[in-house]
Amino acid sequence: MRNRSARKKVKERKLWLPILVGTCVFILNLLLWQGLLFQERLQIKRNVEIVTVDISEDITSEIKTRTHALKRMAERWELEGGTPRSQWEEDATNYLRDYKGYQALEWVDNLSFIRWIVPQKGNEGVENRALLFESNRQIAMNTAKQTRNPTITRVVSLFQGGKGFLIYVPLFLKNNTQQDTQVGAKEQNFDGFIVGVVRPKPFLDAIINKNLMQDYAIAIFDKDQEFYTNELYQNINKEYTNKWGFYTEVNLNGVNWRLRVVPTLSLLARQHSPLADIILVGGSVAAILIAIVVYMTFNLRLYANTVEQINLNLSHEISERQKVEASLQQSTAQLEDLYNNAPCGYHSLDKNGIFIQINDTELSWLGCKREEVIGKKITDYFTTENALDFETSFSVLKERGYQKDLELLLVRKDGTKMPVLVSASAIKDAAGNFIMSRSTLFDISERKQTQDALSESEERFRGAFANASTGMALVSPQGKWLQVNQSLCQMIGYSEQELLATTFQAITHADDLDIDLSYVQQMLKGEISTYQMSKRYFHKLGHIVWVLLSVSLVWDKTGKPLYFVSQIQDVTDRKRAEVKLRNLSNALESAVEGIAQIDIGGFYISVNYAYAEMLGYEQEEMVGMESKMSVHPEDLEKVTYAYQEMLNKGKSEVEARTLRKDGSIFDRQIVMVKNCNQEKLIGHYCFVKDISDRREVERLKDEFVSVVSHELRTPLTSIRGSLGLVANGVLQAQPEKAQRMLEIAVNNSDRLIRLINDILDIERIESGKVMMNKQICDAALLMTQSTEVMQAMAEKAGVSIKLNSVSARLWADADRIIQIFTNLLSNAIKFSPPGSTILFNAKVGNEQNENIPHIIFEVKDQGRGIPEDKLEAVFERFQQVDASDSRKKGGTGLGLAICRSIIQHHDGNIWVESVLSQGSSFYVSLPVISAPKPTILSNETNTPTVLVCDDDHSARTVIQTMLEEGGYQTITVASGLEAIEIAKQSLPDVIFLNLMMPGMNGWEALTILKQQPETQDIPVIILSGFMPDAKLGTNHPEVNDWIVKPPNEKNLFEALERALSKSDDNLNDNLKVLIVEDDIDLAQVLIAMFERYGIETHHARNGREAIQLSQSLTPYLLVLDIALPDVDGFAVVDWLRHHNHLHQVPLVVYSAIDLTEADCARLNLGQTLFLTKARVTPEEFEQRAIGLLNCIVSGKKEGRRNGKAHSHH
Amino acid sequence: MAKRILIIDDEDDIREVAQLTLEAVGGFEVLTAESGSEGIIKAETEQPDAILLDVMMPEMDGITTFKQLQANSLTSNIPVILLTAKVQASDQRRFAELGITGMVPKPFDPMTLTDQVVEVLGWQY
Repeated sequence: MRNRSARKKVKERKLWLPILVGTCVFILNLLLWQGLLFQERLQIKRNVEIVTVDISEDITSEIKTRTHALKRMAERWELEGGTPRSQWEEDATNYLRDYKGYQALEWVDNLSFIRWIVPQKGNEGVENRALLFESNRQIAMNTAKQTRNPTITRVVSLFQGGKGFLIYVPLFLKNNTQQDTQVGAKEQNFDGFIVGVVRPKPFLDAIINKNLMQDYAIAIFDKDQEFYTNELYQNINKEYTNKWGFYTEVNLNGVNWRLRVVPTLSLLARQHSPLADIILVGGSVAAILIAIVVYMTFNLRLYANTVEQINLNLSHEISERQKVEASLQQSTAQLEDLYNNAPCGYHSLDKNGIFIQINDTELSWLGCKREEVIGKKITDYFTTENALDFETSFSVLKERGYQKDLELLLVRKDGTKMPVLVSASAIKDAAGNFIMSRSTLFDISERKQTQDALSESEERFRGAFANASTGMALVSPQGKWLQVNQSLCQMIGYSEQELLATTFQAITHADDLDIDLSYVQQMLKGEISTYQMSKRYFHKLGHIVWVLLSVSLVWDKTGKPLYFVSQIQDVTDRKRAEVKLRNLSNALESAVEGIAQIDIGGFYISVNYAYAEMLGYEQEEMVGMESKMSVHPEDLEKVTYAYQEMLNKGKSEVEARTLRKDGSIFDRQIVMVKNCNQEKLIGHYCFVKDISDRREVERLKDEFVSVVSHELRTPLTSIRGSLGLVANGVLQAQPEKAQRMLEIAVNNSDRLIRLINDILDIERIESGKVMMNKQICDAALLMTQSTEVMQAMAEKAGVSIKLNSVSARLWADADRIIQIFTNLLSNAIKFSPPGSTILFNAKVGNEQNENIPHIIFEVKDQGRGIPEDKLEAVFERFQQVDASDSRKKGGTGLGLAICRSIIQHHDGNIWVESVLSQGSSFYVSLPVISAPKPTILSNETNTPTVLVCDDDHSARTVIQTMLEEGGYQTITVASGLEAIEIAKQSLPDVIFLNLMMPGMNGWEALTILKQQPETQDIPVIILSGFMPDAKLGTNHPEVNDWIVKPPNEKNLFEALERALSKSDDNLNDNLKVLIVEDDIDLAQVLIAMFERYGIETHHARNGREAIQLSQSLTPYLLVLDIALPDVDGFAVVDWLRHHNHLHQVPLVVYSAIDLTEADCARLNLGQTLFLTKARVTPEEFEQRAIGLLNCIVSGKKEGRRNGKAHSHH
Repeated sequence: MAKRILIIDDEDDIREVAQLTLEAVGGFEVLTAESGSEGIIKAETEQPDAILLDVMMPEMDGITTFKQLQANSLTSNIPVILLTAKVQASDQRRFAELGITGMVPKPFDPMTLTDQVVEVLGWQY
């Protein structure tokens, strides 16, 4: 650093001197140059001056000459006494010819008129011109006249145009006779002038030396007026003129001209000697050169110093070096030692690849001596292929300067080959030329071996990896795919690149990911060395691929996990098969049908649950059992036959009896199917169904059919037989017999009819095709009716029926119940001996069922009775107890069965108790339905509230009790203030107000109550010990009523009702009910009922009237009978619904039959009440209807009250 | 001497008709029994020439009655004709197996009844 700045300083120092010197010289040079220039200028100026003078003299002399000539002309004139014109003109022309530059020659007479002019051409109009008044001319003329000498005018304007001057030569005639002493004489001789008219330009152009004209710009001034310039002058620069121009004067006769001469630039240039320039340039150059010289000199000095210094250093160094050399020699020896004995081979080659140096190690490898090797080409010691490679790399080495890690095979002297690793660097000279190589060789034979082995195994692995039929992958500990084989890629549809860019987590199914990761963690921690799991990958296309994953982890030497080796097997198919199998297996197991697999030998291979259960075995114990064993011996042949059929046709079906484990028999339907494995029979499958039930049903059906058929045929037989006899006239002789036969025919026909009816009946009942027409019935009524029906028959049989009817509310099909009763009675009659009594009674109780009350009817006869074993059987179809059954007596055998069916449809029960030869009791139980809850009049949903205000506690209690028993809600307060408050809050329907109360008394309270808008409408009943004041009276406007304590209940309620109805008065006025009922009697009943409540009732007899009336009045309630003569109730309701103000009308639908839900929906208007005539007693109807009405009214009241209260808020 | 036929049938009307038929048309002497058991007793005591036996009877049905008749030495040689509504093939087969001599289906044409009886029994009238 310091050197550099020092050097800089030195450089600067070095520089200034030459600069200085150079500058000085330069300046001197400049000065010289300037001096020269100055001299030159002077010279030029002198020249110009000379020239100017020359010119001036030229002009003067020239003009003098010309003037002279003119004078001669004049003299001639003078002598001749005036030259004649033509002569003069000739002379003039000659003169003009001789002397150039004249415009013209004139003779001006003594009166100053221009008389003659030559040449005529160009001077037209001048002749005879007067000059008298031309001042300049006159001056000159006068002067000439006086002096008798030619005179030149000033520059004047010529008559010909332009400017010029005139030379006037006076003419004085010579008169010998006269003397010139007198002035007049002179005067008298004056004869004018000869004038030379000169245009300056041509004149002077002619005069002045041509050469000069070219070099100089000349101008002549007459006083200040410039009258002549030569061409050059016109272009001249003023400044320049001033600098170089020279003035002189030209004096002529009469004029003083100033002559200005300016040298032209070219003249200047010519006159300019290059010397100055040369001097300048030369000088400058010289200056520079001198500067350089100085600089160099300086440098040289410095250099010299430096060199000296270097020399000094060098010598110092040399001594040092000598020291070093000594130690170097020592090291070299060491180095050489090292070199030679290095564990690797060293050598150096020259540019041709020839050994110039080689270490001992390498020599030993080669098995040669140094002398043998040095000077030989290295390629001699390589294999031929290597030699080529070597040459190539050697060139590269020479170019590049280095070569690394070449694997070559060295050929030993003994011919064996040794693999070496060669690295070399090139040693170049300063010029970049290759001098030699320096190479290092490593014996890599061992490495090579291992390498080869490794690469071989690697190859094998790679091959195995790449070509494995299962997916294989190497995965990083973080889950990134490091390497994947083709099979894996194909399996999951991604390309190798795609996979390598992602992780296994990315394509693993979410459900499997956690387990997988936990395994991974365990492996990373070293807890497990491998794991295996089934998991799902997402195929690139999106579907799931089930795989079996086996993973192991490879660790590095330091114990860090390197990568996972994963084997992935596509088990989708397997999984699918598994699932299918599982499903199938499940299906098989859960099959209701028994399925068994049997081998060729006829032994069970496997059975499903149902099969085993069917046969009463365990699944496991059946395996290996002989299937024949379970077949009933009698059916074995059938089964074997079916087996043969299966072998032929592949499938067969047979029904056979089967033996269970416990020996019991049941019927089975067996379907056998051949089981083949590639055309070879390996057994068969059995599908079995327990058809016992079916059999049973079939059997029953068959039986029934046969029984029915028999039953039908039996009367038919009688008919056929009897009629046949009669028809054939066999009994012609026995008319009574014939008659008897006809009777038989008729009877049996009837029997047949009854039978057929019953059969149909029971079938219909049991198949559910018959709808029981249930309604509310009274048990007593039914009993009575049944008894009446059977009365005749009973009488005929001489049997009496004792009826004890019991009333009960039943929900049943009355006709059917009667059917039952008549049947039972009929049976009883049939089996009762004459004179006996049949008891028909009933009992209500809860015996059967705890929750639901039942009524049990009893028909007790005193007949033969029924044996115990037949007590159930009698209710079966076509059961005959014995020959003397009711069948004989015209029964169909189905009666009791039908009864049972009917009873079953009524949730009831029928049974019989009997004592043989004493009689039987048939019992029928039916559920009893409860009566609807009685509704309290006017207190249905909106129980009126009464506020009782009395400070006397006992009085309050008494009143409260009374009211609550009457069904009113009560609120009690003890003071007027409270009463006001509570009344405002709760808005009771009536207020009982005591008068004598402490604090605020009754009157005060009353006043306030009547003032408050919320409470002013509430009726107040005074409850006081006092009698009403005569003055105030019960006509107190604000008091509804006055009750004197202690209150009489009747009075209390009456007053209450009055009060309530009074408040309803307004509303009641509007209360209208429309009754739509075609039955006039019923309608009148209803009307009367409503009117009792003071309700305005209207009646419509049919639908049309109903609609009409509805339009004219707006009923609060509509009582509607559905069955109307013309327009039925539905239609009326429909119509009402479509009219705005009527669609919310509360409705009481009073119908004869029960309505279905659908019907009810159709009939809904506002609040609708559905009452069935049969179901509801008149009192109930009243209750419900009025209740509904009250409901509506209170609702309206509430609404109104709310409205009122609301409006005041 | 008129042949005597015992009719065993639980149905009164049928008995009546059949009886009349056989008497009027066939000129047989007819005995009747209401039930199988009664019939057996009557068969034992009366020793009819043939028995017309109904199958469907309560208590003891026709087959049982027949078997008993067969078992009973006193009655085993009396030819039995079944009078039955059960006319299905399976039934017929069953009856035949049992050793029934003949079968008349119900309902019957009274004229043919006599013929059938006669034919079955190989009588002449």
